Amino acid sequence: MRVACPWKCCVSLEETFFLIWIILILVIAAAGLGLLLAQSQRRLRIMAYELELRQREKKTVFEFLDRIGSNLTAGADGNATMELIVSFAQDATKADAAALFLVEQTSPTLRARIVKGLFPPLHKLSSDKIFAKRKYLADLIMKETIRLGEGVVGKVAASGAGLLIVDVARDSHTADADFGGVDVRDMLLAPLSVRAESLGVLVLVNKQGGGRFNAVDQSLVSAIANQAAVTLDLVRLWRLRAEQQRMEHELELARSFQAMLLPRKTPRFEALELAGFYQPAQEVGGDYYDFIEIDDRSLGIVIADVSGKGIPGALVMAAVRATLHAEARLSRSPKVVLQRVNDQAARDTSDSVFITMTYAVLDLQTGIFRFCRAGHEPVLCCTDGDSEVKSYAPEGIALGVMEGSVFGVTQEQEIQLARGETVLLYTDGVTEAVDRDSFEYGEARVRAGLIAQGHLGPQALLDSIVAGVEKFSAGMPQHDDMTMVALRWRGHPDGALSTAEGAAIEAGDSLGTK
Amino acid sequence: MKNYNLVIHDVAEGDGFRRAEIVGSLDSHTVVAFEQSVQDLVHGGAGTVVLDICNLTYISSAGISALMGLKYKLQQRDEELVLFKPTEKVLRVFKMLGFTSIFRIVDNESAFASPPNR
Repeated sequence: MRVACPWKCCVSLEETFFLIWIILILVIAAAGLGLLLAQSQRRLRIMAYELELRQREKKTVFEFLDRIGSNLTAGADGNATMELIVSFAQDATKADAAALFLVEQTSPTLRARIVKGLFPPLHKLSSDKIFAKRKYLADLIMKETIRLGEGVVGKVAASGAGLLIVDVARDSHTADADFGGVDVRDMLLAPLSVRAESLGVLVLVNKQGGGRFNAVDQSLVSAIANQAAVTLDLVRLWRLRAEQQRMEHELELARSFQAMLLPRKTPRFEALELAGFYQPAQEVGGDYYDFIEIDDRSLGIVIADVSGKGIPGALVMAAVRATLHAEARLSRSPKVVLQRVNDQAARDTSDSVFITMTYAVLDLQTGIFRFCRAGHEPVLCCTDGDSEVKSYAPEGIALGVMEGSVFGVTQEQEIQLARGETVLLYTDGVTEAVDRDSFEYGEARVRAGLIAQGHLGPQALLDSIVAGVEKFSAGMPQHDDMTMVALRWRGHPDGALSTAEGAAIEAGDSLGTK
Repeated sequence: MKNYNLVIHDVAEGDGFRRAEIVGSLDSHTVVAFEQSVQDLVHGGAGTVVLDICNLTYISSAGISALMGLKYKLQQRDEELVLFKPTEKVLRVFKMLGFTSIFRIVDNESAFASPPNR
């Protein structure tokens, strides 16, 4: 069948249909191609937008890091860092108001640390006053605490997931909030967390110029919050380190201060051999020993242990030492001296601080050793060749506890030293040194050491006891100061007082090294 | 042997007194825990606080200081601290310090008011 075509050519009907088919297919293909083009263009636009977003985010974060970095090199100040975080987030999102809430160190609550702009109270305030002035409102918000999980801030801190609230009136999180009379339209909340620990929440309120926060703002704030968390964590660690350094410094100070209290030189006498030993523990205790040359004939010997540690303990000891040195020159009676030291210490120290002390006055002519034991460890004596140690623990009460008459129970004891007799004074840091199984060194070992080594002279005796304790405790940490004083009476060949031997030796030789 | 642990628990409470037991070692390691634990003993208005120390194995000078602090805090509220049944070793420390005259140390329950029902 043939039909006449409009162009007067002769085309069959089949050919016409074929042509129409071809045209149709071409049209569909063109449309598809167009659609594809449009789609890829849209995708390109989105990609460009996202790229711009990432670049903006990157730029913001880099700027932020740069600012934070220069802030940190100026010193790890937590407050300045927080200020910077909040103002940076506020600028980046163009928010009317912003605040940084941080989790408190002592309890699972949040408190606003920085508040900028007219920031609304985000939970029910404990005071219902209306605060017209934003300064008062900010002060109030910074005083209030929010429990984890309470209100929007508490929820973001607890869940670790940020919130974009485009319309506070319609959002389930904020629909019931009254914001203390502050006009709030939209909000942006981002958690600050490191290693799954929630440090706080960054909150932005009301986009400037009546606009609303969007996904771009949210992604920006979340990036800032992430960096801020890392930075605050760093500041926290920094401060911890600084605090540790400060404590180490205080310890060092206490050690050198305490070392100042000890005699710089051990005096030397014809009739007598003397030695002292002091080794501080890791956490400095308050041990003290001293030799006081009262006059040509009388030597004061003291060993003491204050119950406090560190700087406070060393200060108490310094005060006691000063009183003791003054009083020792006014009386030859140990009891009278200690009574006065006690009264002074009871007035000066707090109720729970006490000092144990043994104070003796040795007559360098006669070898008479008079002493009082103010709550201190017993006085041990052993003469060369003896197989037993005499232990003296007359009645006595520690110093600094009670003023006046209570001290009356303290008794004075007198020992006539024999030629070759060694007297040993020690603090409980020696007897209470522990081994790996927490057993104590004990008084029995000290006595055994005195019997075995006493005849070798005070310095050798102390050295051997220290070596014994060190061997016993075998590297276990030393919990308390170890202090000892030993003296050995040589007497006078003809009972007469000889001239004192030359120069004194350095007490430093006998000080233990850590 | 030293045991660096400290457990404090209320044993009984009666008319005008409160009794708590300290088990373990009272030294510089445990003294902070001790001071925190006895806070409510001070604010309890108990009249007499009886510390059962029959299972206190060791006490250092820091531990004695803490007991002294507790004693004075109670004293300021017109309350009294009684130490009940110290071991020989712990009693020796108190004797050495001359503190048997400062602390009220008792060995039998009739020495403090209203014996508790254990």
